[in-house]
Amino acid sequence: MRMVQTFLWIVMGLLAVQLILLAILIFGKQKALKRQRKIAWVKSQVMPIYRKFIETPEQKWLEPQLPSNKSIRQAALEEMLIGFQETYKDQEERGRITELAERHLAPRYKSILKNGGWAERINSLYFIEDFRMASLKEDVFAHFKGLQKQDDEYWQCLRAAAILQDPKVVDVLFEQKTLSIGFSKELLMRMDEELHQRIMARMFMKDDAPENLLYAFIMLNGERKSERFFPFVEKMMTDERKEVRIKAMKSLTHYGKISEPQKLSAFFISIFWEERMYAAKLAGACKLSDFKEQLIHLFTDPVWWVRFSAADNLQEFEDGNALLHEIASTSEDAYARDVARHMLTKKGGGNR
Amino acid sequence: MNVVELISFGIIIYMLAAGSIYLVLFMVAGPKINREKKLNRTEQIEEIMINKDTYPISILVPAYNEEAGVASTVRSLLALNYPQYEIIVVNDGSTDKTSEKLMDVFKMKRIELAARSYFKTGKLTAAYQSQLHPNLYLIEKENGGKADALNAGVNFSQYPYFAAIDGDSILEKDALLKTMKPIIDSSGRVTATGGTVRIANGCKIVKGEVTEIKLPKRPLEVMQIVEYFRAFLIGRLGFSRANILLIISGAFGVFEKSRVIKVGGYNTKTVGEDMELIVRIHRSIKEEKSNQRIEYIQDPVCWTEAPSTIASLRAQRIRWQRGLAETIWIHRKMLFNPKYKGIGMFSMPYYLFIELLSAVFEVIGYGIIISGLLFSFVDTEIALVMLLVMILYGSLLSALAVLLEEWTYHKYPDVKSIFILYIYALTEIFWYRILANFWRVQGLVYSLRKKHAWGDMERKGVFSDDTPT
Repeated sequence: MRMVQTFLWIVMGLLAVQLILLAILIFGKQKALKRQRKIAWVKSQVMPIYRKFIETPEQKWLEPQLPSNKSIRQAALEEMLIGFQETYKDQEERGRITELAERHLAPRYKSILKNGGWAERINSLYFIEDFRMASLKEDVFAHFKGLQKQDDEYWQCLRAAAILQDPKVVDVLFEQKTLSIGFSKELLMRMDEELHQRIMARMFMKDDAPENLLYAFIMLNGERKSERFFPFVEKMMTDERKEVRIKAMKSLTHYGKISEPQKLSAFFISIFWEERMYAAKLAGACKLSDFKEQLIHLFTDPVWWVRFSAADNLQEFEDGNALLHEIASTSEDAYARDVARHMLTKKGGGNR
Repeated sequence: MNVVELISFGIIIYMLAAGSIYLVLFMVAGPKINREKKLNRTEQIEEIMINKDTYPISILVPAYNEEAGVASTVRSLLALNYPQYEIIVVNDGSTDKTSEKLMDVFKMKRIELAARSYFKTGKLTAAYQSQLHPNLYLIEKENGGKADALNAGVNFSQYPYFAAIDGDSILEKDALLKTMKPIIDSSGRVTATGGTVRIANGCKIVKGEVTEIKLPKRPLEVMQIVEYFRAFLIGRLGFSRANILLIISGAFGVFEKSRVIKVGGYNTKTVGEDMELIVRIHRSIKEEKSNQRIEYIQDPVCWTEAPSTIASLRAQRIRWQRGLAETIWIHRKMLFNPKYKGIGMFSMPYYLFIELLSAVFEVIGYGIIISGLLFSFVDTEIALVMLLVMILYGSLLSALAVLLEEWTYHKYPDVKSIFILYIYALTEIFWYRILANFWRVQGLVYSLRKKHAWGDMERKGVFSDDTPT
């Protein structure tokens, strides 16, 4: 029976360990619940006072007493200020939220960036970004410089530095060739026009921009319909790289305009289907009625996406529906009839 | 030592080894969970919400006789937090009022079909678009099974990624943001993702959203929660870390459409179409020597209705087991094949010996315990050791999963729930596991006989009324 005894001991031993663990967890849970209640209480006490400060700063007010426990104070203030950010959209009100964050949270974040744990540091970086805490600009970049691994912390550091308009991020964008389009765009979105101007100047001066940065720059300006960079985007439509041309056309569909429409003609007969598709989209987006004929021709394109874009964009014109009816009933091409019919029955719903 | 004793020792060693594997898998995932558990989740996905570069997604909802819950599933999908998506309900020849219900609630209007066909599916009979929500579509087709319905959905879909969701599941508001995050962060290197699925039974659901997390009353349902913890927390995370994950739950997963098209879509000849697809994707990734991967995120993103009766639970388990058996059979060439690296050398054998065959070993174990303790056919000592090892493997491991769950997510808002879950977990081996094991053996037998049908789970429609179940 020795074997039974051994296993009995193992089972009892593990059960005991688990029960201890359970006790610890339950204790921890209760502590966490208590902490949550405390944070909620602190918030309920100080919020009305701070709210008043944000709404009517000219009135005299007394800074409320905050709890001495650093972590509770931090959590309560963070929750409160994030809540304020959702309510107050006005520039000046936002400025006062930043002011409060700078006063109460900056020293804490500074020390977390130096000595905090991984998740804690990232959370602080999120808030530095949310509250636009300019006083920490140098700390954020210095912290970034010390990072070895490209993980969440790395990305978040760059995002925070970008929103604080740190020009050193521009260098990172040019030097770090592995940044994705999406992430490059994220950074660009956070930068102001001055930094964008700097990026464009560098792109003109030297051909060292990573392609992803170039794509991101082209796309973002289109999405924002940024007049200042329109000539740059349009120029890219004739770039020798196919992908750059496509991105430029996509960007121009957002602008909804093109200064020399005749440049589009060649794309309708491009050997690349993506270019034919974007030619259709651009013709629709800019309402270039001179290209109706070419659009109708694309109804018989061998690629589904091209046919679809052609049909979809033909609808942009006043007589679009009439033309679709005509194609649906008279075209000799089955694909063309199909796509025309489908387009006639759809309403909204994106590209379907 | 006689044959029975030899088998007994074999099973004992097997269970100890399997238990250790579970623990090792958890330890693989542990550091990541520990590191990330304090991260601010709302801040983390804020970026994706405002970024216009999130990939648009088509959400496919295959439905077969789902009139009880389909409208509220769709309603919850319409409320998702995601910049651009479409919802495609595929009515797979339901015999009830699934379509009528949708047409009525969402004012569907017939549209012409111009779907591409990447795969051959059962005949599409009609397509509708909602007049209230232009991104909601309903397509009707002849009955062909869930996999066929999903394939038809992929054919109809217009976006580069699609999410497959069961008609009886609801997604958290940020589910798409969270599950798409690995894909966006990796610029598309992640080709499929899935997230943790939770059981909604007992929770309070208002307008297709889980507003209060509570435990269900029925022991059968509570036990399934424990079981989900065990499977998700201990198993899947570890697998995902090593890029050898084989299952993305059928209840909710996101896939890159081009990859799915490349591998030929869902297999209509198996009941385990979700797992089979993942295995096929892995296989094609490995054969191409591509650096793409499948990732699993630890956040709970999807709530599903668990079977609440013995009959429906039995049907579900038999179906799962059959699906697993069929998938392993279809891809048997990958077993122990070093060409497929971790998948061939570890995942496939793991699913074969631990997920598929453990039920058989355990049932034999029951026989040994009973014949040892009641009839003295087997040495009592061996029978007792077997019993103790089963308690270790069945109950204590599940109890550990409950503890780990609280340690990582603390989703249940009160102390009482954790205590109840823990106690239930300890009882697992004495009743629930026995039932489940018998059904799994049955499933295995059925898979040898092959019979094909949609799951015959009775739907109460937990999401149709806004009251706790």
